[in-house]
Order: sequence, then C-alpha cells, then structure tokens
Amino acid sequence: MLATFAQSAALPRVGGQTTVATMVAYFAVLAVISLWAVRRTRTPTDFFVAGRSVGTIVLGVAAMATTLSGFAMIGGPGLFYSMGATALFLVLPASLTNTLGAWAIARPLHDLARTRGVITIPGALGARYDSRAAQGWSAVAILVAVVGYIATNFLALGYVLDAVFGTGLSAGIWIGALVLVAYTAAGGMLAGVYADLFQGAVKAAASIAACWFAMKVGGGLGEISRTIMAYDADFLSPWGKGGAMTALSFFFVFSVGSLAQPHIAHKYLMARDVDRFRWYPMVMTVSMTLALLLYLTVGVAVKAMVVRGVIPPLVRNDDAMPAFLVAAVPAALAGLIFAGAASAIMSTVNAFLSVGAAAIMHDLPMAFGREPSNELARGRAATVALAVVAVLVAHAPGAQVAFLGVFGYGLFASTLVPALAVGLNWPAATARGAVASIITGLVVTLVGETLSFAGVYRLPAGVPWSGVALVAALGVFSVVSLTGARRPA
Amino acid sequence: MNDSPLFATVRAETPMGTRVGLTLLLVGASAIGVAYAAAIVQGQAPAWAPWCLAIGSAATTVGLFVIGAATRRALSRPVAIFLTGLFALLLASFGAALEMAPGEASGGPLLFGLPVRLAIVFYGVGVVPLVVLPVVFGLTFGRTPRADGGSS
Repeated sequence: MLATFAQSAALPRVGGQTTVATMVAYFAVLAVISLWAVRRTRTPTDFFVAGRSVGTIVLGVAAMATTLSGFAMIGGPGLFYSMGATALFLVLPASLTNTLGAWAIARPLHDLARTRGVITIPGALGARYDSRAAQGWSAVAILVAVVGYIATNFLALGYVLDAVFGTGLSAGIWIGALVLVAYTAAGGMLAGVYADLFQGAVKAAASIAACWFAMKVGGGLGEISRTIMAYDADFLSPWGKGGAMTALSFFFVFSVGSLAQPHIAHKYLMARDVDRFRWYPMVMTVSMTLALLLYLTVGVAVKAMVVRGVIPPLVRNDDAMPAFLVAAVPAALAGLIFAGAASAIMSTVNAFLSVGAAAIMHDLPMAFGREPSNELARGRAATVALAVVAVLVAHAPGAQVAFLGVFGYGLFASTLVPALAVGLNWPAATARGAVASIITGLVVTLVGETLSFAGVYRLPAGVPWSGVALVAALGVFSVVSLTGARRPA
Repeated sequence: MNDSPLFATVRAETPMGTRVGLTLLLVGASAIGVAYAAAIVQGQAPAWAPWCLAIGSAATTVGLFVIGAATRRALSRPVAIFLTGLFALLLASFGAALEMAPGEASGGPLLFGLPVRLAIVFYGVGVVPLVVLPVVFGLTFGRTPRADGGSS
C-alpha cells in the first residue's frame, strides 16, 4: 500500500505551447535565483545553512515547500481516489506539526547552531550528547533514507518532464537531475531556500487553481459527498477504506515523525535569530493550507466524476491527476499545475541533496574523529556524487525504486525522533540511549520492510513497520537512558 | 521502584513539566505498542486496538507539546490548560468517530459538506488546531531567560 506514495507511472503528454512556455519560464526563474545565490555562497555556513540569514517568511514557506514533495501534487489525488478518507490521515497531522516543530525543537537546535557552530542535524546530536557515535549513526540513517527518497523523486521528475517536453523517461530523469544539481551544488542551501520560496508560491498557486476547478466540476463539497455516499459509503467514513487502524497509524507516524525529518529540522539552523520562530508556524500553516487544497479536493472530485459517469473508471490510481487535468482543467492551467508538481519535487530533492551531502562530507568524517576540511568544495562534490547514485537507482525496475522510497519517512521517524525530539528536551537522556534508539529504528525498519517486500513476512492490516519501529525506538531510548542515568555518589 | 536513587537522580535532573510530557509520550507509545502487539499475535487487530491508537496518538503528540513548552519555560497555567484541552479535543474527535453509529450511507446527514463522523475528525483534529495553535505559539513566544539570569 505504501508503494502508492511514489509516482511510478507515466503521465499523459500535456506539451501544448502554453504548458511548455510556463515550464520554460519556471526553469528560467530558477536559473536567476541560482546565479544570485552562487555569488553569495563563500563559506560552508553559506552552503549548508544559508549563512544563518533566513527570515520568518522565507523560513516558513521554504519549510512548506520542502515538506510537500511531488506526491502531494500527483500521487496524493490517486491515493485519495483509491482509499478515500484514509488518505486524509497523511496530511491531517499538519494541523499540529506545523507548530510542533517550532514548539519543541526549533529553539534547542537554534541554540546549538549559535553556541556550538552546528550546521547539520547529526552534528546537533553529536553536540547534544557529546558523542561521535550519535553523530555517525544518525548520518548513516539519513544517508540510507535519502538515496531512495531522491531516486523516487528523480523518477517522478522524469515523468513530469517527459509529459511536458516529450524527452522520454531516462532523458527526463537526467535533465531534471542536472538542473537540480546545478543549483544545489553551486548555490547550496542559499539557493535552496530562495528557490523554495519561489517554488512554494508556484505550488500554492497551482493548488488553489486546481481546488477551484475541482469544486466547480464537482458542484461543491456537499454535492461531491452526496454523490460518493450514494455509491460507496466506506469512502467517506471517518477512516476511509483503509480502516481505523491504518488511518490512526498514519496519524501517529506522520505527527510524531514530523519532528525527525532532517530536511525540515535543518531549516531551524538557518534562522537569522530566535525571534524568527515566533510567527514561523503561522506562515507555514497558511502556506501549507493553500498548498494542500489540491491534495484534499482533486481525488474526491475525480471519484465523484467517475460515479456520475463523466469520466470512465481509472485503470490505475495514479491516473487520477492526469484524468482531472484532461477533463476539468483548461489547457493553459495544466502548465501551472505541472510547474507546481516540478516545484514540489525539486524543493524536496534539493533539501535532501544538501542534507545527504553534509552527512557524507561533514558528519561521517567527524564521527571517525577527522576534522572536515575544504568543506565547500567537498560539499559540492558530494552533492554531485549523491545525485549520480540516485539517478542510477532511479533507473532500476520500478518496484525496487518504490521500495527504496517508501520507508524514508518512517526511517527518519524511528531513528531520529527519540534522540532528537525527545533528547533535546530531556536533560537525563544519554548518548547510549540515543545510539541504541537510532540502531533500533534502523534495524527494525530495514529488516521489516525487506521481509515485507520479499513476501517473507507481512504485518497484519493497519500495522506499519514504521509505527512498530518508532514505538520500539522510543522504548529503547527511554529504558537505556534511564538505566544509564548518573547515579548519586 | 520510584524511590530508588536512580529515579531520584532522574527526577532531580528533569523538570516537572518535562516529566509530565515524557510520561504522556511513553504511556501513549505503550498504548500503541500494545495494540500492535495484539494485532501481530492474533493475526488481526482486536476491536479495542483502534482505541489504543486513538489514545496513544493524542497522548504522544500532546506529550511532545508539553516537553517542548517545558524546555521553552512556557508551561504556564494557561498553556497547561490549553494543552489539556487539545488532548481532550483530539481524543473526543477520534472517540466520536469510533463510537458513533455510521451515517455515511446514501442520504445521510452532512456537516459543513462532509458526513458527520468524518466532519468531526476533519474539523476537530484538522481545522481547529490548525487555526489555534500558531496563534497560541506566537502569543506565548518569549525570550527564554538564560541560566545566568540574562535573556537570550
């Protein structure tokens, strides 16, 4: 079921002149931002944390753009179409998590950045626990997760570019990767956050437009609900077609797990000063709400259109968004929506490339006791190397790519939530507890997902490996920290 | 066990608010763990397992809010009351959806455009915290005093 999180099927050609022109204009703006950022990237701090110069609005919109990958624009409506309200539980936690990050970890992370010169999330763990092992193991966990994540997003970007420019899938992947690497390797996070600001705006505009047409074609939310209820009562039951266990497990993993997504937590290291966090949740909430309108409305509108016989039943769930574009949206708007999809993919991959490159060139050497040197040049080289590996992985058979991509969120959650989100706020937490929880999350997630993928052992319906791993890691972290707490003399 | 020197040390090192938040977090995670374990042992989730997940999801999330507020030294009485209300809202919304009779069949009533049970979850868990939480955070955001008595 989680495989549906990855876009894994070709999109129909939408390469009209307006669509192509919109996409070309989109890439031109990205090029301008990159050139501007390259000239201002002079130090590792500029490259990895945007010179710690980011204000509230850029911080909030960039965090939203990074959070919502291409899945929210393309795969999400397909998931809603197939599972009904169950799909809601992937995004429902955003009502809490937009604020929870700032509430629980932004301040401690920013303090570490300011007082200890921390520029990465594994570096923050190393500083918090005074432990090279914690820094190294968290870097390993991040690397394992980001390669699959980046590969699935490269694949999705290849599909988008093929649909607009007719490049073919392989060429689309390479071209998309080249553009991304160009501005990530050259301008680092400075280019990344300002590209995120632009991409977030494109994404929100595309989402508002799509929502408007979804409501128009569906006759409003009430009419859509009545149409679907007459055909399939489970679809709009509170838990959807996946049932209560699946829906609530989604809520658990995507609410608690949000605190451990390194590409988002990394943004807290970039803030100009701590006061930037005061209205950051408000900015992120407003922009996130706008950007999620498409996710929330297109899938149900397509379901209602199928029930009414306006369009035939979909062959694949991933066809929901393309079917909507063809049946309900003027051709001129398709370009904006495809630009929104490209924005969503690229803003997420940019952040992952930066986080992964930092793990390779900064955190792993430090974990082995070596002081990183020439980080700016090596960071750029690591970005290119990571992108090449991910492109090669993206060319693997679709099921294997999807497999690598599906457990990324859960792996981040189970390996980093205890040590990062809890440990930054619990003085008695120990380095041993942190390392033990990271290894627990890593092993349970990798072994479990592999057994499931190979068909050797599957958990009962509604019980995800990511949830099991997160509970296990929290338990191990607490027990090991408590038993290892300093005893009074 | 709680009188042991080990736990006395942990108590001394951990502020009261953090301990409350950690307790909520671990109780919530345990509830979810029990539900998962029962489902794995029996091959399918027992009828009470979704309640464990509902309680656990609300408790873990609010627990993290509590320990975050404690770290920011923002766990005043109004914030504590607010977080208690948030926990109650999440639990009541999930609980209502679990306990209410289904009404999603053809011609069933709608609430703000959605079937009633779904509307309770969507507006209760989604919309209300979405609107309220950023405002509460902004209003309670302050300069945290440093250990040396200054402010940062």
